[in-house]
Amino acid sequence: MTTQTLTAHKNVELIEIGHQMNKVGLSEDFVSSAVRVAFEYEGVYDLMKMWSEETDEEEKNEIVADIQDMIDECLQKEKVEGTYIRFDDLEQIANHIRIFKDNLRIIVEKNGGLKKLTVLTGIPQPSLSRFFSSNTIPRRVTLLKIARALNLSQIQIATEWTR
Amino acid sequence: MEVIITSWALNSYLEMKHSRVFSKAEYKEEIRPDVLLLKQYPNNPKFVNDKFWSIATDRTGNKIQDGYKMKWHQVGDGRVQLRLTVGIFSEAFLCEAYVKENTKAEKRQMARFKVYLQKIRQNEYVENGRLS
Repeated sequence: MTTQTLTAHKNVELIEIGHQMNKVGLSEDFVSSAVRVAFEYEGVYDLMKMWSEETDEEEKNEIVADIQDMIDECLQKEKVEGTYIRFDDLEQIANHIRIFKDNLRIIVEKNGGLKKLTVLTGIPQPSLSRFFSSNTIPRRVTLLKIARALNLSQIQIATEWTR
Repeated sequence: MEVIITSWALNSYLEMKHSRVFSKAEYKEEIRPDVLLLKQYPNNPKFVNDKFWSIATDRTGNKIQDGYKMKWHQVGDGRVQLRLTVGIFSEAFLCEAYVKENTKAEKRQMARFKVYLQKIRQNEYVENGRLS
């Protein structure tokens, strides 16, 4: 499968949107990753375009969180056979994840809160908010960024459920 | 046709299960049997009913290649509209389930779906089981 090739015009558009994102305070780390992934994935290009055309701040934040999700997804570079989970076990797993995220959130709050964590990790605040409020399995890459930023031990970010 | 549960589907199920979007009975009696129909795709009349099954389209209205949506109406106590994005290749890939909220959220969801389909084509995804 060849990767999606965007036109030169689209590439220039993406760079311009990247500049706009940087101007409103999104980190260079996030913006450069977003533009790089959008060159390759039309879905991310779509999200970048939607962000540039959107006026509602809340919606813009949701788009930013989606872009960060997709940046993380695009780190997956091979097919992996993951753990098979029965439907009847989902609730127990979701509860386990909830407790883990709630405990981690307490540590984050003791260390200056989400705003400070955004500065330290480069992960946009809407994305961190979604990370803590959702019950999805946390990504190892996100946990490691948080751990490095807050100088946490491996034990403090250890959970049975990561991806 | 094999029906593959991706990590995107698993995560969305986790989110919905915790948020109690649908009940266990709805899952077992309605949602799961409908998803199992994919095993005989396209040989079931439900796949020509656009209230149940439709081609996915992106923010500009263009068809998303290999992308489809399975739909349920009035699900759970919240009587929400539930959607499941499905990639149809030589196998059916369950991508992300979500509650349809508004047009903007739907467009974002479709952009995410395009990325998932590309990852499947590139063989870069996590398989968390097969529906049987």
